[in-house]
Order: sequence, then C-alpha cells, then structure tokens
Amino acid sequence: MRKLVIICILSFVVLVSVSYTKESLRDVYSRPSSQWPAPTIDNGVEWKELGILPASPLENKKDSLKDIIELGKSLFFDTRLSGSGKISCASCHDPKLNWTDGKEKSIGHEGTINKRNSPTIQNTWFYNKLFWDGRSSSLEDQAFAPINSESEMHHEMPELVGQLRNIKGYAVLFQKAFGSPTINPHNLTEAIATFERTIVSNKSRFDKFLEGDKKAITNSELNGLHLFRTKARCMNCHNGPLFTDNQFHNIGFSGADNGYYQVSHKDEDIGKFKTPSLRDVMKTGPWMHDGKSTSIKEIIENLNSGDMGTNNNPLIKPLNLSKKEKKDLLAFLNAISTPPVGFKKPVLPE
Amino acid sequence: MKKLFFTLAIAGFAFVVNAQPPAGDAKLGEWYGEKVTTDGAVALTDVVAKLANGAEPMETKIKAKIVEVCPNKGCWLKLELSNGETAMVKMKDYGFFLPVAAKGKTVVIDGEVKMKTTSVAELKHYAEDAKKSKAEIDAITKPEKEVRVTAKGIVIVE
Repeated sequence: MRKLVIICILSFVVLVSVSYTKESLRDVYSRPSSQWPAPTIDNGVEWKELGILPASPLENKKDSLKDIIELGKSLFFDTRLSGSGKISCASCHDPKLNWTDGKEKSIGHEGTINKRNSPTIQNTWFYNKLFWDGRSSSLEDQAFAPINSESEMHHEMPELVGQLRNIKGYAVLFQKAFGSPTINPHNLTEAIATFERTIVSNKSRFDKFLEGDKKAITNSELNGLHLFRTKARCMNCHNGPLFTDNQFHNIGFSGADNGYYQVSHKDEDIGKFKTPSLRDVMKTGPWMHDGKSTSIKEIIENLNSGDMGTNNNPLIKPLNLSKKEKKDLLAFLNAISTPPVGFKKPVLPE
Repeated sequence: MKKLFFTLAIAGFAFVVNAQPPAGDAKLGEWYGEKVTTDGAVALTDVVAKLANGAEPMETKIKAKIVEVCPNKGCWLKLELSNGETAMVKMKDYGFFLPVAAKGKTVVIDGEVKMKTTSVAELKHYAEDAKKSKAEIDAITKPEKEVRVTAKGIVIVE
C-alpha cells in the first residue's frame, strides 16, 4: 500500500513537472530574447542571439536604386551571359527552389559537373566572404567567377562586355541605371550584386512567434528551439538572426576538399567551410559544400555522435540527444524554413 | 544629384574591391590554388613539342617562366615559350589569382595543357565582329594555334 502511494505521488510529481516545463518553456521563450535562458556556447566563441529575419540592407534605398536593381535582375536571368548562351545565374539559383538548384553539384558548361553545391542567394548580403571556401570578399567580385569559369558559364568577361554592347536594350538599361550606356565589367557586376542584395528569405513561423504570435510554432518546434540553443550546441556556429556566425568550420564533412585552407594557407583551416545560414534549410538541400548529404536527419545523427573522424574541432562533441530531442530539433528547422518570396522573372532586353 | 553621388561612390568602391590582383611578393615557395609539389614537373616547352606533334590535351605538371600577369585581377598569366611566343594560363574554375609580383618568376603549374586551335571561319567571324575591313578579313587564311593551360595549382620555384 505504502509502495503504491509513493508511486502515485512520484507519477504526479513527474506529470506536473513535465507539464510545468512545457508551459514554462513557451512562457520563457515568449519573453524578449534578452530574457531567454543562456545558450550553451563554448568559451571564446563570439555569438549573437537568434532573432527576427532582417530586411535587405537596401530595403530603404530600393527606390533610388530601382534601375540598378532592374538591370541586375535582367543580367541575372540572361543566358547570354554564358559562352554557350544556355546558362544564366538563375540556372543554379532558381527563385522557385529558394534560389538554389536542388542538385548535388551544379551543372555548368556542356554538362560539366562542378566542384561544389550551389548555395542560395537569399540573405547573401550578410556574408563577409563569398563561396564555400571564402575566396571572394564582395558580391561584385564573386560575380566575375561563374561568368569566367571554364566549368560554369564558360565566358570571357571582355567578350561578354562586347556582346552586351550590341544589345540595344542593355544600352537603355545601363543608361537608366548608371546615367551612361557604357558597359564595363565593373558596372555589370555591380548591378548583379545590387540585385542579389535585395533577395531575402520569406518570413518564417519562427519570425511570427518572435513577433508575438505565440501559437505560431508547435510544442515540438519550441522544444527544438530550446535544444538548438542549449543541449544540441548549434549556436556555437549557427547564431544571430540569420543562423550563421559568418565564420569557417570543419565539422567532419570536408572529404578531400581543403576548403578555406586554399585561401588562408593555414594548416588549422584544412577542411573548413563557411557556416551556411540555416534559414530555409529544409528547402535548400542537398546539403554541405559537396551536396553529398541528402538527409538533415542523418546530419543531426552525425553531429549527435560527435564523430569527427581524423579531423579535430573542439566545438563538435557527443550530444547524447534522445530520439525525441532529435525529432524536435528537426521540427525547429522546419519552423525556420519557408517557401521563397514570390518572384516574377524579368523580360529580357533585345 | 544625390543618386549620382551614391552611384559614383558605389562604383568607386566596386572598382577598388573588384579590380585588384591579390597583394603579395610571390616569394619562393608561395603557392596559389591547390597546394602542389614540384615532383615530376617537366619543362613546358617539352609538353608543347608533344602537342605540336598532335598529342591530346594532357594533365601534367609543367615548369615555366611567367612573362605577364593580368594587371586588373591577376586572373591570367602568360608563360614564356622558346620561340618568343607565349602560352596562356587561366585558373581552374576561376578559383584563384596571382599577384603581379609573380611576373618574371619561374613556377610549377599543375593543370591541363592543350593546343587551342581557332579555325579560319571563327577568326573571320571575330574579325567581322570587330568591324575589320574586307581586305583584312580576306587575309585570314591560317588557323590560329595557342597553347592554353588550365591551372589547378601554382607554386613559385625561382
């Protein structure tokens, strides 16, 4: 009898504490983020709290930059920027696929399979360095590469500029954008980069939750948010409103690719790649620099094991997440993923 | 006016960040792109001799002297050939750049070497595009051959 009473009391305590925890988690996370529980972050790691999706930095200048943005949009969608006339920037950054191509690796000139996975251009204005290996320091500079690369668009900038000069419609667009019909590599890439800076994610349910819609995310997603910030240690790299620290890390997926090492030439950077934003992550697979990861579930399993093979990264350690915790984490990634903002393709100049 | 100023400011900035080869002295042992060793490097002129005899494009390591570096971005190089001509080097995937200080240095390049032939028809087409005179276009009777190197990695050896 005494035993039964104890069991009953214990069960009641567990029940109450569980429901109390759940309720309080929603309450806790409904407060301003400055009052959220401290995230699990290792010493020395610089971080920012998660937050509402930031607008494009050009949001308030869209009117004054309208003509440059429109020109950039045309160039971005124009297959005449490639040597074969068949590939545009949008071939690998498709607005319908959250500005990715959904492929393991991008397909370039005459079917060439490229070296790495095509990242989204959503929120790309935020990155200090472009490309998975960070070899470019501005979107303007970055735009030169796919155009000139023999394996991507397979064109040559001097020839391309010559060709565009023969398209009357572009003279009009460059005139409107820059006050002169002159086309050169610099205003060409400036227009593309300016357009790219206007492309951002759609507002997610997580953003709605942060804006005060307390029912916008489910209990599982909420639990995932808490795990993301604490036990799962995600915020050691994926922090701030865009879920990236703008840094480079080796998390055990590098394969034979040296990544950032080729840029920095420092041994400790072997196999490091840029931390991608996790906004819309469920819509931008396959994942990682080589597109070899086809399941976020598997990536979570991998990171949960803390197995880094021969690599060394103190930020990666066994997490001991339960089956339910892994499910909740995945649920949270769904809460920060949305279909892209509606987009109308431009009519190309003749 | 304000817009013009803004545009000019951006353009100026873009010019600075876009159009600059990387800084550096291209000292002995410095490397670019993939890290390459010098083992098994052969003289570029030997490879060119094979290509001139009809060899297929080849993946190899070549040793040669840089005589020119793209002054705007460091995105192409010209290598010395024995007959006073030059071979054109572009970087694989447009993936890396060399400082202008690399001019005059001897390098080992790991990459693909091939003979690029531009046909008479193609040359005439370019000449037409460039609005050359009929006499100049008619004067094109021979295909143009150029040695092209696509570099995966480059190391300074002298």
